[in-house]
Amino acid sequence: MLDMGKVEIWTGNQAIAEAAIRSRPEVIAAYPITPSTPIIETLSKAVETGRLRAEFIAVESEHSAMAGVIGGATAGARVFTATSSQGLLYMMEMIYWAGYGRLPIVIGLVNRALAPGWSIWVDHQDAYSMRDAGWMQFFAKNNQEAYDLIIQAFKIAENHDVYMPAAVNIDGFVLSHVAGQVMPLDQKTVDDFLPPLNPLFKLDPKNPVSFGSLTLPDDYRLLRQDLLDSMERAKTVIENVSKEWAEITERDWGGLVEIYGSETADVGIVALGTIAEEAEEAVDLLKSQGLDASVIRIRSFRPFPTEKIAKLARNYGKLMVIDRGFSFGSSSPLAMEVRNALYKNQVKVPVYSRPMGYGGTDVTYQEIAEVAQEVFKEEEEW
Amino acid sequence: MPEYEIGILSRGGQGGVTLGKVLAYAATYDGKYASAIPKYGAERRGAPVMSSVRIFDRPVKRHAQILKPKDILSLDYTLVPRFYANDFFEGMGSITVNAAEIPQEYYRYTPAKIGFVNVQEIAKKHGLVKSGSTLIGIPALGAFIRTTNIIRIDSLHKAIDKMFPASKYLEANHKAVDECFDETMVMTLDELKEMKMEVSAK
Amino acid sequence: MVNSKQLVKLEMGAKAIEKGNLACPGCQLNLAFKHSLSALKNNAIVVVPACCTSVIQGAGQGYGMHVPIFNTAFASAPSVASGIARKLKLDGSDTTVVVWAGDGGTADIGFASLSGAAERNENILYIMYDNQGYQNTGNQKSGATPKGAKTSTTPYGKSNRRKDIARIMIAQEVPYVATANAAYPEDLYEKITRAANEFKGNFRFIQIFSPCPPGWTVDTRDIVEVGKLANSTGFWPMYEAVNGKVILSKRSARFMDPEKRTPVEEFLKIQGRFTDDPQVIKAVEDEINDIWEWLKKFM
Repeated sequence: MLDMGKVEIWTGNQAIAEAAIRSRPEVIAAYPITPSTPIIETLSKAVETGRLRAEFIAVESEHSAMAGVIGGATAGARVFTATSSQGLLYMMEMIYWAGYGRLPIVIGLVNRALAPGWSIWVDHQDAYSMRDAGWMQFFAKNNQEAYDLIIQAFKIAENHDVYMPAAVNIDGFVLSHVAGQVMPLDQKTVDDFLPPLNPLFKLDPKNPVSFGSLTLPDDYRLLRQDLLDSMERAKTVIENVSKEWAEITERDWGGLVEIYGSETADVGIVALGTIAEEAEEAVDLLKSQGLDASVIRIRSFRPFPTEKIAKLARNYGKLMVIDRGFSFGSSSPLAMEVRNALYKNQVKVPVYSRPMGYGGTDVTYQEIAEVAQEVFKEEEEW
Repeated sequence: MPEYEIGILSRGGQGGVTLGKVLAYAATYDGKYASAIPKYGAERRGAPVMSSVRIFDRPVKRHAQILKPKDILSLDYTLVPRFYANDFFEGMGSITVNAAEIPQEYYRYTPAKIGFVNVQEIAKKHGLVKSGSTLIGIPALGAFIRTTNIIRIDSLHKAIDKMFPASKYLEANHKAVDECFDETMVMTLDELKEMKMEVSAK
Repeated sequence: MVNSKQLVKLEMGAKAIEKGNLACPGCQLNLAFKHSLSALKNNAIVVVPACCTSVIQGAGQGYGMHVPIFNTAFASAPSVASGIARKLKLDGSDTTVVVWAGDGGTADIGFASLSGAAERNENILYIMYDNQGYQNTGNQKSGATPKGAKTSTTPYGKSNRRKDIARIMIAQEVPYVATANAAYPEDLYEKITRAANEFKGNFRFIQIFSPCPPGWTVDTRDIVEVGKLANSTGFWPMYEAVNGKVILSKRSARFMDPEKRTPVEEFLKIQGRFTDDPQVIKAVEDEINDIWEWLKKFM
């Protein structure tokens, strides 16, 4: 139940900025790009007015935005930035530096299609481009979840069993510019949930160490193995933080995966972000037509809930995966993940890849239901 | 289970997007679920814009844009025919328009109700004028609520206080909202049909 | 100014580099690093983009420096340093944040982030060690390579002049800009000290001439002489620009008079990267004359 007196009508960008402010980052380095710009505008104002005790660095490129927060993090600061699309691609070298460098940075990533041609509207191709950078990747389905995820992301990223950066994804315009109901938390609640960053390591003249120097193959292998292991541990941490959050706020978003509908159904619709919430409406519509479907919403794309998906999949007749992007020359990224999970665990459930909504194409629940109706009928070719 | 998908037609610069937010706050104070959707992308001053609002009795899970809203508020009476060449109302929904009388081109539409009032005149009367343009957006919401009854007028006043606490137009907006609410004429579909027949008889 | 005896004593007190690091014999940038960090009493956090120093500091778990170093991607050092400096500001720390970068990382790939940090007047001491090419990868041409110099990507000599970063920094109104030379450690020590103390809180830029024995094909024994000839031929005038006003450093001042300069051929023939082609000699002479013409404007 919403306490309507306390609810704010915030765009997704506002929700992310307000959650970032509550999380008390100390260094923010940012560069504007549509549709994420309002996030950094709000933060720069919060710093200028003294509402947030932090340094705001208005850098000259996204590459420098990520470099700036990397600098802040290595000096022991909690840091934040936001970007979209081409901005993410331009900062990609530093995205990997942050991931492989094991810095607990949080970024608000407002998903937008890649050019050319110029498109300012949503798809997930930008998010998929950072898949292997050693970052956790979370997707929100609405503005409230975006708010909640930012604060949780800091807590997960800074956990010493995890200690790696996290990206909180929201769909460009569809969430970033749409004002929805958000129930903010007071500062004390957030402070209790998210204590100050306790850095695992930082640059200190009293204890001089070199960060990221020439690394020989044996050491390099150990570093990457540790990243692999940390990603596995992150799965448990994500679930636990999600539960803790639910206890405090009474908002349970479901950890790695959220199911809408029954845990057994003829068709499970797998999706990310707003499409997954729109699919909840499609499931209701299908139900009224006598068709049994559920939504399996992936909240964490990295780490990917491989075991959980395999386990869940056994209860479904078919899976239909909606991707907002492609892997050209192969399949679509989310469908590949799902198939991998199933094959690895020897689960023989057909997976139908049905990409929709790229380059800003609107996806309505009626359209999702129509595509699902076809999947119900499918007998071959998956 | 009422579910309203509302379209606000305005021209770039008239504040249609802000109106959506005010309406969403008002719906919230009424205990309803709401979201306000702007036009996606660049906005050009003077260009026709539609922003939209969902007001539901259950959480809003729809994210797609509203292409055919059933309840329309138009700040400029020429915009409805511009956006919708054909009727799609089928006896449901409503149009609220800033006009002293129902424009003839509206006879093609079949909403359950049409509400109209000269918002321009009322806003001007209350001094809602800024650098030459009349601030009609907020008062028009009073008319919209009169036509549709979707939310309570008290909730609108509360939302206005929330959104513009420091505005020098605050009092004037409240008064203009009430006057628009009081002065709005609402015609039902049957009344509209009669009017239409009278016009064609002439 | 400290004399060499004092300098040796000071450096023994604040050892910046251990013996046995991975620098080539005679490496001038490594000496410059030692002098610079000693001047800061090792109270520094150093950001190093891809360059010789990425390797020199040691491989794996062996580490030869007495200051913390953050190794970062080529184009990003000034921005990383900005982030560090801002956090130190919040913490009220007096540690100097240093960018230690080569000429490629400064004049070429890192130029945008350098310019950005200078414009924001970040509290960073930016030290560009200038070995006039990509020496770490085997002497490819950089924006700082002088006209006429052979590199592995300009095998018959570079056809354009070098990008003068110190002058660009002055044009950007950086409050303290200086040029130095690894062959003159006392002068370098003074400039680092001045930049760190008098201009604390601002962006500061020091460009150090750092000859590279293998890249420039110079006999290790002659490498300090290359630095000295760069000074005496007028090829590398040392100066400070304080709030845009240029003051020649003591060691270079007298070479304002062309009569007092050593013939440029002396500087060129000691290195393998220049031919004795009269056109090459003329190109270097022209460059020398032009920089002194510019310097004269301030005198």
